[in-house]
Amino acid sequence: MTKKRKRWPTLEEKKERPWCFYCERDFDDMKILISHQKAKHFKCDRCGRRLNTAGGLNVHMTQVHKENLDRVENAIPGRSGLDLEIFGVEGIPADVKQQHEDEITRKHFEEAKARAHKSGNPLRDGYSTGGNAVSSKRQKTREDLDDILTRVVKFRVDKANGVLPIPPPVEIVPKASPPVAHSYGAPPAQASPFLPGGQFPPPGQPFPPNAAFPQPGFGAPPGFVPGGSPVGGMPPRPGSIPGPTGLPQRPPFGGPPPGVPQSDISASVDDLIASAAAAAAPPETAAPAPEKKSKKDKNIKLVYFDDNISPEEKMAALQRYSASVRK
Amino acid sequence: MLCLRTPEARSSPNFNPQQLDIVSNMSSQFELAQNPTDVISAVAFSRTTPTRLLVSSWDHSVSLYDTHAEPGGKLLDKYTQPAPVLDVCFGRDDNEAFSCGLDWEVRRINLESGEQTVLSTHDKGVRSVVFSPKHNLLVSGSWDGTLHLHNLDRPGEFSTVPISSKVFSMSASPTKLVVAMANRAVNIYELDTLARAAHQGDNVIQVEPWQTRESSMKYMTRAVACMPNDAGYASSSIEGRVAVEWFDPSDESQARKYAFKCHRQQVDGQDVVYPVHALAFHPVHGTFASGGGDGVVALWDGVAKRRIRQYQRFPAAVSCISFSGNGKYVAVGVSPGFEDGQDDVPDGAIKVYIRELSANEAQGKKK
Repeated sequence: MTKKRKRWPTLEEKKERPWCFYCERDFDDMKILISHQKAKHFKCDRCGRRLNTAGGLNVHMTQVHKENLDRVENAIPGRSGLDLEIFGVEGIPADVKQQHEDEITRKHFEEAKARAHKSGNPLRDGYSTGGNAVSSKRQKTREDLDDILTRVVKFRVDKANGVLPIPPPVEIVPKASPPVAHSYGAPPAQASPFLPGGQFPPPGQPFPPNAAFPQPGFGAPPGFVPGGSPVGGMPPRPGSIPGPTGLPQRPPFGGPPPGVPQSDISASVDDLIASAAAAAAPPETAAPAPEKKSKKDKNIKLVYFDDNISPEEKMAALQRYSASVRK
Repeated sequence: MLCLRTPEARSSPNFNPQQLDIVSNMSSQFELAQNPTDVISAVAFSRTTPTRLLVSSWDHSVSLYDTHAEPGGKLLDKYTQPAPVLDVCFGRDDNEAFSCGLDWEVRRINLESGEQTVLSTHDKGVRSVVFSPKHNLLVSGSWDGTLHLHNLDRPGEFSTVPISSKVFSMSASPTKLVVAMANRAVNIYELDTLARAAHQGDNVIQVEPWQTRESSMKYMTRAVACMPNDAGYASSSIEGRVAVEWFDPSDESQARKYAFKCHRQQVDGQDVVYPVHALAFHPVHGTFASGGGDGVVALWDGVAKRRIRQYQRFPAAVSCISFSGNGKYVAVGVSPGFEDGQDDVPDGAIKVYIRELSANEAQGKKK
């Protein structure tokens, strides 16, 4: 197992990453780097054999295929020479190594600066900008016994009246996505199927904790999760779920103004949903396809598949030969 | 170290002639300078002169080359016919050739004078001609479901042998003729029997095949080639597969037969399966080459069940392969392959490649 990757690795961590001399890519692990080199740079294009080094490939080419290797495949310009014996990060000339590290350092500070600029946080100490740029901690709510008691009473009353429980007020980010996600293709009447009473959630209302992310009317096969939202019995965490990529932000919920019929709102919301769904459509249609393929065991395409007429016979019937072919 | 064998070895002080031999054995490959202008249907080396090559094409021509007279080969002569030519083979000597094609005729070509004689006319296109020097017998196979036997001792006469289906490919070993037909049928004739039948000279004769077999592959047979040692034959199908089987009808020999997949390509997780258009046995080593719609030629050791090597992809489908009589050269006819679902033959390279094989390039596994 590789180490868990940090979001903002320190410069030292970045410098320690193994990297490929030929294409300047860096990798989590030395093993991956070596298999990358074998697959991308030291692979024989005649027989697919993967050698360990450029020299090894050269010998293989000469002996097995009687051909000469003139360069390393897929290398960035200037790095395709055969004279260096590179294996993993070993054998990299010092000057190239220095150049690579300088580049990492430069990029590292550039990124840190850009991040600090974006988040408004001060730059961390020169080297480690590790840690979170944005505090994601929830604010603590202070409640004394009386507050809790009033809430309990309110809850009982609400329950008796059929109103869904309102958990303690939490700061909610208005772009919470689940209501958008689960209603793909759902008819307007069911725009909020997670509320059995057909009631629109009041402002700032997070998901009812027991609503296990409903999926009715969702056209994708099970296991497909739009925008990577959690699924499968896990109640969405309120307030911290980022909107699915590709979906426009939802406007903040405003409670239904009194007097406006419920259906109007759900219809307008549905319009929004429809446009969002359209924007998010490509991943939805693309994703199920590979699944289908993997299910089919024999996924083959015959270039020629006629059982009884040979290619020559078909060619003979073509227009271009019609003048000369005897009939 | 093994690196010694690289060409730089030439300049090394401890240079020995053995290394020079290896270096000069480096195989080389070139394309003919003057190629036919339409799909190549057959290539055929002379049995005796290793650089004499016949090429037949859908451009109505049969071309004769000396492959090594000059760089890129020399086009010695070109013989034009009224219709696309589907097959060609050498006759009794270097100056005689037989061809067949979509004019329904089997022709004898005098390569010296260019004179063409019609030997027989089928009722449909003629797919294949095979000449057996030992029996002085020319056999032509046609889509009309007949074979024509031409006893060359008696010019101008031939006998018709009705068979069960259209002929797709034929190949002769020293004593056998294998005819691959539609409906996955395969007939194996003894050339002696055919020669005797041809000698009788009746117009239509029934010749019982020595064996009738069903192809061991599920799809249409595309090509067939006999082992030079007379032990068996290889056949290929349109579904990227080659089968190797033996003539010997005993259970043991029949149990040895096998088939394997080849000429396939993974494209986006899908297995694209190409027809295996060409098969040819190496006359010396007894290994064989297969050429497919994917433009790849592979050499196989049919006994050890190994692939010896696979050559770099050619720019278009490989339609035919021929080894020279001494096994030193291989000619590969490359033309765009006709695929199902197309309205026309696609554009693409139409070329004949000649590869000079190094000493043991086509040698199988040593025993």
